[in-house]
Amino acid sequence: MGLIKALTEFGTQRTLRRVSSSEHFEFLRRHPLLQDIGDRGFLFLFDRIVERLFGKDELIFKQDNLGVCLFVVRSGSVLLEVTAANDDSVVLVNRASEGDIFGEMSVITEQYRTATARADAHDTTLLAMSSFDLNDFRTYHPADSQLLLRGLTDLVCKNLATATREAAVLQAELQRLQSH
Amino acid sequence: MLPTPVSRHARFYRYLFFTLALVLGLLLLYQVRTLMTPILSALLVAYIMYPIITSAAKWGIRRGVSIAMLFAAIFSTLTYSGIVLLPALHSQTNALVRGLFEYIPEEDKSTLPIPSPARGRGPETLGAGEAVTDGELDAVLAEKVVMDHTEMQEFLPNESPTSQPDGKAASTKRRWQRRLVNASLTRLAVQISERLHSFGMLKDPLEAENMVDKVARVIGQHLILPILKEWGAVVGQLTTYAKDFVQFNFIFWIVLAFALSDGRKIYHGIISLIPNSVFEPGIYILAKTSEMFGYYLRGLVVETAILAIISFLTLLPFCLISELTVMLSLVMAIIIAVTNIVRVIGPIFGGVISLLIVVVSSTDFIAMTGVLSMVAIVQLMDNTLVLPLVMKDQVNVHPAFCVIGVIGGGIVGGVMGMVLAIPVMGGMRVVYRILTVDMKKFNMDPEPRGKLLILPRIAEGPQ
Repeated sequence: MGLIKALTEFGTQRTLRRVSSSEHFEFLRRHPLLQDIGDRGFLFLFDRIVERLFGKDELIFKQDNLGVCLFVVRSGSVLLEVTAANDDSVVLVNRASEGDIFGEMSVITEQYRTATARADAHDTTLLAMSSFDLNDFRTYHPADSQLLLRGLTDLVCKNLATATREAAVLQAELQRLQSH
Repeated sequence: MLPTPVSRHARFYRYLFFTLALVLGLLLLYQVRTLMTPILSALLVAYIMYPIITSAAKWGIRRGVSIAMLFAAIFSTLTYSGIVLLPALHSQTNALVRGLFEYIPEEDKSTLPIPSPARGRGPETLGAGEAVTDGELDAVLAEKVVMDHTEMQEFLPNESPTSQPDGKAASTKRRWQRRLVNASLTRLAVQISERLHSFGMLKDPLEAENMVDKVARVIGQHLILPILKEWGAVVGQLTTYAKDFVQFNFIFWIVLAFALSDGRKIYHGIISLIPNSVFEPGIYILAKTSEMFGYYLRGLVVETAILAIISFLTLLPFCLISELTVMLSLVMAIIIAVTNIVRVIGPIFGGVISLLIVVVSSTDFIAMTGVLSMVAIVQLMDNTLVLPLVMKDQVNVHPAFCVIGVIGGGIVGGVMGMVLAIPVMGGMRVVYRILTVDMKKFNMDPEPRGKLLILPRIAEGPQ
């Protein structure tokens, strides 16, 4: 068993050395979502992450469409908008910049998109990770996938907390306006 | 500036362009289909074997080394199988060819483009004019067949044992023995008629013999004769086949090596072709069809292995009580399992081939029964137990569409087309379901935005 473990570790380290010169390697290895994941798990994900380039105002995904990928912003910025149900007005709910993650909710819940994502800068580079790859990751690297899931849950909680706080502020503002 | 909605005309021309491109692409693929067969075969094998390479990479083995090891294992297996199975296949093929000649009317034998064993051109055949003495023939008959001399004369009408040439008695006797064994279809008919007679279902066993003998001759004239005529053409084109074989192998092994070493790059290359506007549906369709393909192909390998074992185990008891040998059983088990890869048509083909082999090489009624029951048991177990367990509900294509698909696949891509017909149809079904159900409301057309409200947090910028 010791020999097998040593062989595996040897192979992993050699592969890491080989891919360390690849584009996006350092960026992803130091990303808060992925920095705690083990080498083998990281290599598994790194092999599957896909780079996409978007022009300004180009749609990345649209509200109510089926969501398959979560995106990490490598460069540029992305606007996240929600269309109000009662009229055509659009609320800009977030602006994602380098290092930010978006689209994680559909990947976790496997539901339709709750917002529309649009590139806000020319040559916005995104790194996409599909829910199918994350499912495989859960199968082959269960311990690392726990860490990743924890990171995504933290992100969702943080966004939820922000949204709750903003909803409370807006509710108070609405009541103040109604009282006048 | 807000993007303007795509006009109806622009959308029509876009769809027209993609449809024309698709049609042209398919036409191009059809034109180069001879090259596509080895490429597709290699990609197929690579798809099945890719998990082995990735697992080896996890153990610290470099891709190049693991591919070399895999190739060495494949070549070793092929060589060993060749050494073990080829002599058996060779003898069975010889027996098949010799046997086929038995059922061709004499007048038609002269029209065949290849030397007929019945005309004495082959080294192991009975030549015209050669004969044995009545005593020797009687001894052979007593040992090998249940019929008497008169009946023997009936089913070998053109061979009259009159005089014995000097120094040829033993070899001629052996030839007679072979000839009697080869005439197994007639003998089988006699055995069946005797069984039917013993059960009281037939008044006179000779009637059945005559009937089957006539049927055999009709089959010989209308089925086997055309096959042998075609066979002659095939032998005449051996050079062409050898060239095709070399070309196939050259492309196959190179593509297989590249596909195994750069499988992930190929996958990324395919994804990079997907436009941004349909990126997520593209990933979804690719993943779902790939999942279905994976299930089907890996399931097919497992299914083939299970069927080969079941076929072999079913035939083994018959080796003890009939003339069936273990090696012959193994060959037939592999034939049945491998031909089963082509759905619907394959099992029929495999059953007929196995039956032909046993008819020609053995005169035993029990062996025939064994093969027939093996084919039936294997099909029953495959449809009720193995297929539902291995494939689950991944490729649920209606049998009628299966037949149409397999025939269509055969026309377009030969054997590989027939093998791939069902997973391709399954893939089309998956895509159709995704487009009509999962992605029914999918829409990436840019629409004019109404009033834009910006939350204070966003308006203030990063904290």
